[in-house]
Amino acid sequence: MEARIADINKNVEELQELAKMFYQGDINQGFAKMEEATSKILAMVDGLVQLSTMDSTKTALDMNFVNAALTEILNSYEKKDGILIADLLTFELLDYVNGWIEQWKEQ
Amino acid sequence: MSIYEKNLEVLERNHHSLYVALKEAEEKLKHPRIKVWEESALNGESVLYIEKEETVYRLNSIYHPSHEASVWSEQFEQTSLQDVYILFGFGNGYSVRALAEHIKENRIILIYEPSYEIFSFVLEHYDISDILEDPAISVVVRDINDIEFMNLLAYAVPWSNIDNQSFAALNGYGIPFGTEYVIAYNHVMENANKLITYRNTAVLFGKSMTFNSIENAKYMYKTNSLADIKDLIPENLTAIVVAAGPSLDKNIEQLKEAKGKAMIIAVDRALDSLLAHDIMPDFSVTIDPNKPSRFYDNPITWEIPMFYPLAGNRKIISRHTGPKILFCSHLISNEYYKRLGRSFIAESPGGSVATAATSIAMTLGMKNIILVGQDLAYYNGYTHAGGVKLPEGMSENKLVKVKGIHGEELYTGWDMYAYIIWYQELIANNKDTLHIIDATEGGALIRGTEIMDLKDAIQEYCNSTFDVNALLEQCKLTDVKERYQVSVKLFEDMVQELKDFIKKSEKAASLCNDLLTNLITHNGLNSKGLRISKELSELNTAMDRMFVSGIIEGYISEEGLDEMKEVNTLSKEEKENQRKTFELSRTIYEMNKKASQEILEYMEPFLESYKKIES
Repeated sequence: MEARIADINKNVEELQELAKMFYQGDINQGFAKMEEATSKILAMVDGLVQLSTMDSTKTALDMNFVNAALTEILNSYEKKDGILIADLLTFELLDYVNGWIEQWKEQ
Repeated sequence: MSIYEKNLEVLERNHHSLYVALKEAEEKLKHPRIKVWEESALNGESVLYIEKEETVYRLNSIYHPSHEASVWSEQFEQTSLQDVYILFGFGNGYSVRALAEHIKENRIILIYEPSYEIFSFVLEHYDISDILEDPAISVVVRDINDIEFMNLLAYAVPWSNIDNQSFAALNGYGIPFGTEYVIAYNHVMENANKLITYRNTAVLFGKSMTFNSIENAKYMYKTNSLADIKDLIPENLTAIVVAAGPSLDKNIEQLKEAKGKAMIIAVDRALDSLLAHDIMPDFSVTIDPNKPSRFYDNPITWEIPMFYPLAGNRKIISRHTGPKILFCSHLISNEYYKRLGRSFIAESPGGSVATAATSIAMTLGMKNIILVGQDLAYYNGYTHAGGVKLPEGMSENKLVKVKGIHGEELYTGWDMYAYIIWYQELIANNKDTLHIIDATEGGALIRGTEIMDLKDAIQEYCNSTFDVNALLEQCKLTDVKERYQVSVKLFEDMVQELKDFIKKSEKAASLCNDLLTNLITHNGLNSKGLRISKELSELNTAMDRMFVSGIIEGYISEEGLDEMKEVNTLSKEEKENQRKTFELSRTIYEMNKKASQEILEYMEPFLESYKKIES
């Protein structure tokens, strides 16, 4: 379980770096990393789902929220809106994931 | 007081020329080409939007604009004692403010806002008075005061700071203002290239300029300066600056028509061509410290009245027997005229002999200046009149592509490119007092000039009567003896100061050693170290105030400029910075000592021989 959380945190950090890249105007580099980032997001969500199913007494993962955030990120990618991708990662997806993990660990 | 009034009040006080330019552009501001508006971000802050050519662009994060700005600013690190951040875009101030807070000290922020519509909107809707109050932040708005951009760049980025400049666009600006981004970036590159050109000149000529200046100073007491002749120039007299570009061969004969109707100033390299066509210029100009003396091989050239700078080639100037007129600011001549109680007009000569000639004409109050042979570009492989060709092995990638006067593409060198920029800035900065007519009939386009054939230019602008001999007769010096005595005293003081400077440099280098020992022994400076540091600082101030310090600085520029750049670079460790600073300071003081000794060795016999002139 610890290893799984560590994997999730590693993905979170890498996605935070991607958001930073967009915020710092390194748009081309950011978009070049988007495919890799999409795999990381999927791996992170997969890890979260596994954690969530390990213990049904703990707070369940809001998959509707996660899916909605993912859809928004992919839409922004299509529109080439790097700042919105950074916003969605920072204030939606990663904010939710960090909060959920903290809550999960405390329970 | 509204936000707009508050912003304007600070703008008027701290950015006066921008304030005036905005006021003058009020009519333009009423007809925006871009629609600008704001909306609320999810955190309640403001998001700026623009609509340009039917496309909407967002310039901030819609979730948290100040967070975005803060992360954006973290990409910049303080790397020197004076970092310069050139920003493309002002936005609504979030990013500028974040950067100013992230790097609080020892920085200059220069902002190029490509849209006056955005800046005008921001002035009305956002309190940016804190940004405008910051004395280290300058703002240039395209189509309002962007003419100032090159001047601000030149001020903010001297050679010693060329590695410490960053150019970055604010988020959202790249796509809607792509063309303007390229323009701003090119300005930054132009400034860098100009610095490299000037720096290379200083490196090449540092020592010979110093010895030339000392040697040529012996003519000061019997030569006029520009101030002596300025008021004697007939009103509305036109100057013709004859440079030696390849196009000179096309229209040189026309110049005969201008003789006696305008002041013909020839650059040194054009003298042979002019004399070969039986055209006697009114003045020649020399400026380069190492200019080949063959341009003055013809004894006729020795008699032509000459504008000379103190640092000019001493072989050429010593051979010249005709009337001499001193131009170009120099520490020795400035001090001499100060002691004499006479004015000396210091003009800015630019980087070439032709720009110097133009500058002289302008300083003499001539409004109309005709340029001839000023190609500033290569012409069918030729570089100069008389069939002088492009050096072998010079490849096109060392050249710059520029627009010709007929709209064609031409190649030029980086040095000549810098002169084109020099002319353009001169014209832009002197709109009301200067009119330059480019009668080269070829070559690179200099924006702001009137392009004419030489024949037409002479007909239209050369209608005065001018006699150079009569002019020089009127300004003959009557106080030569007094001038000579002032110069002797000046040279004696220089010798004394050089001796003193040697001692002070020696002492300063020794204090640097003490500081290094103290730093290493105590893992930082202790109270004794701080006392030594204070002593060194006082000694340094005393040396800076000495008249000869500027002469020594010029002399050591060959090695010293790169050392200065090193001093400007910081590491992350404060102690490491201190160690580096003390070591480099010691090197510079040792270089100062060596330079003072070498100059003194030249100066002492010079003074002895100069004193014999009186007898």
